[in-house]
Amino acid sequence: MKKVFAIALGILAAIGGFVDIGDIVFNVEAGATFGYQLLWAVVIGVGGIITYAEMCGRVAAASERAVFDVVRERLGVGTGLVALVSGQFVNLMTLAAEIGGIAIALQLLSGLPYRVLLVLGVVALALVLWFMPFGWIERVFGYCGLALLVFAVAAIKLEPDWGSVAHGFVPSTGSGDLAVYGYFVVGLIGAAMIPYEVYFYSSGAVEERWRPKDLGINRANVLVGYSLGGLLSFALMISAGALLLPAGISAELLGTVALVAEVPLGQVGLILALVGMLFAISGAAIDSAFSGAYNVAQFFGWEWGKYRRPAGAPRFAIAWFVMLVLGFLIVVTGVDPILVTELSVIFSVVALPLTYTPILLVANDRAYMGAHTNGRLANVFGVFYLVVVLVIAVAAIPLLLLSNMGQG
Amino acid sequence: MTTGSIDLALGVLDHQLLDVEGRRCGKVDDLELEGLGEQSPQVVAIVTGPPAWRGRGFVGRMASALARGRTVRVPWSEVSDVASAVHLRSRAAALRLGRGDDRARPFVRRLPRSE
Amino acid sequence: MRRVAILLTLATLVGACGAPSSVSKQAEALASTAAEGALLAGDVADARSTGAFAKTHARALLEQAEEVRAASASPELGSLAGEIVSALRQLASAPTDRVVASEVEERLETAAKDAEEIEESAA
Repeated sequence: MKKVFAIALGILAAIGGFVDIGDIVFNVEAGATFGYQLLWAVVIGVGGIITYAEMCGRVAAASERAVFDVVRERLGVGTGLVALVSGQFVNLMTLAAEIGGIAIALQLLSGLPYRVLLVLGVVALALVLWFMPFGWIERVFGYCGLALLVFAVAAIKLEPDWGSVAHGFVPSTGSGDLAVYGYFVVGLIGAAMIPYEVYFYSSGAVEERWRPKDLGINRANVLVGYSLGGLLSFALMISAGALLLPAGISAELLGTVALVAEVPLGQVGLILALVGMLFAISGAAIDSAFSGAYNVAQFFGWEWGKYRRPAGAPRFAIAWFVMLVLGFLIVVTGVDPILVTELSVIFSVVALPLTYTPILLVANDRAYMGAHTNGRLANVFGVFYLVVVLVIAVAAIPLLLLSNMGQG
Repeated sequence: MTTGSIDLALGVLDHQLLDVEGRRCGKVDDLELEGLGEQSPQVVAIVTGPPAWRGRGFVGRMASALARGRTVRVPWSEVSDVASAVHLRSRAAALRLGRGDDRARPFVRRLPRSE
Repeated sequence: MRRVAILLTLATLVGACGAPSSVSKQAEALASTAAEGALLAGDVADARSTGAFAKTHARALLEQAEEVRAASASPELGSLAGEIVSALRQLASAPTDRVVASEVEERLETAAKDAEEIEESAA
């Protein structure tokens, strides 16, 4: 019973932690531009992260290794370094976007100036990460992120045409500008499969010393947690499609996202939406800062661990701190965080093949996995998603340019 | 020591080094072999440290040129087991490994609640 | 190869950032800003928002309209953008005043319709 409870809590935290600023921006913009027509792309993205997170968890349990240990062992120093540098670049851009998002959410809640809140936000993050035990951090930020469920309520209250919504789950080429549509397909899948998620998940699994007996928990976490997290993405797109598209409102501001909850649900909806956004984005900032630290530490063989006190893993602690500072420096220049968000997702899409190929290779390697290599299902999905990821990686930059970043 | 042959490229190179206390102290950055060209070359030592990447391909060579610090040579006799990581018989400090963390620790310790 | 792509992207973005430039695109943008501002003002009028949110978001919308006004492709668009900016500024300076919000809502709804008309006639 206690175990079921523990699993449920873990899943709750995963749901609340699923959505980050990339998901928010792309899902709401997609809803405002194409209504419900891109829901199928979210399904593809969620399927992808489920497939590969499960693999990472299994690799961690069977081989006691996290992703970047695997990347370096399988690809060697040369390719591994390329993967490290590109992975860090992407992590850093993502982190910068999340930090900017935190400041905007705080500004929408408090009315205080943006730059002041940037500083406050980063300082608060650093203090939380230094002093608060990580188990608490994950729970607090995960549960509070669940406030985003308000968008599910908003979606229902806005009374969308559920027939059209159902249609949206069927892949199509959409009506309207093909390049813009393609850009959103790439962005939605990319936002769901963003690399820091698997780096963070696999490092956590190694740190918790998962062994083959934990493979059931791994599957439950991933299947239930990420599917329900995907529901949040649906809710964002559906409510945006129901409110913004008919009104001809484009979504380039986080305030617009909050408005989508305020219009049907009033003040309570607004506050829940803003609080949910704040904690979901903060959680993502933490995860991406740590992913940066994990990757460097795992590549070079340093001590690492989110549960360790800083003195136990000093270079690791310095690494995540440096990530926070660099992320802050990027957004304090005044660059638009929404712009950084879209770029970070698109650039991470370009890097996705380098992220996921080693995982698929190792998950099939008997020397690492023993009896727990990929079954047929895992390989069918694994290969399918590798192809998907290769296609969108090639298409990402051209679509970014052709669609004028989704503006058409 | 695990019996049976170990694939050096996949089984040892780039793997994590763990000292006798289970402390992470670097990676196997290169291997020192003896008797190449003869019937059975032998691994004599593990070499760790970024300058060891000189022999590891184009990117490795570029990166090793940028790297500061020296390599550390760990005789193969110090290896107690090769599993998912390479386990060593002695403490990291005794083998002059993990010095990066040792150097960083005093800085970190100055801050409150760092332990 | 990737570096070339990144440089190209950055170059295009520097150009793409900021206000749209054609009449119909600008009208579309103004219609969006005005419609959204009207929704916000409507919520303030019904006491369904918060002061901090209304002030911050009205200011953000104001900046959007101001961008179009500064680069307006026609005098008609320029004055419409100016009207939207002024209405949003009024809302931002009194973000909890229900009477002001009601007026602003009407002004923005009219502006949104005007923008749509311009967009349709330009298309």
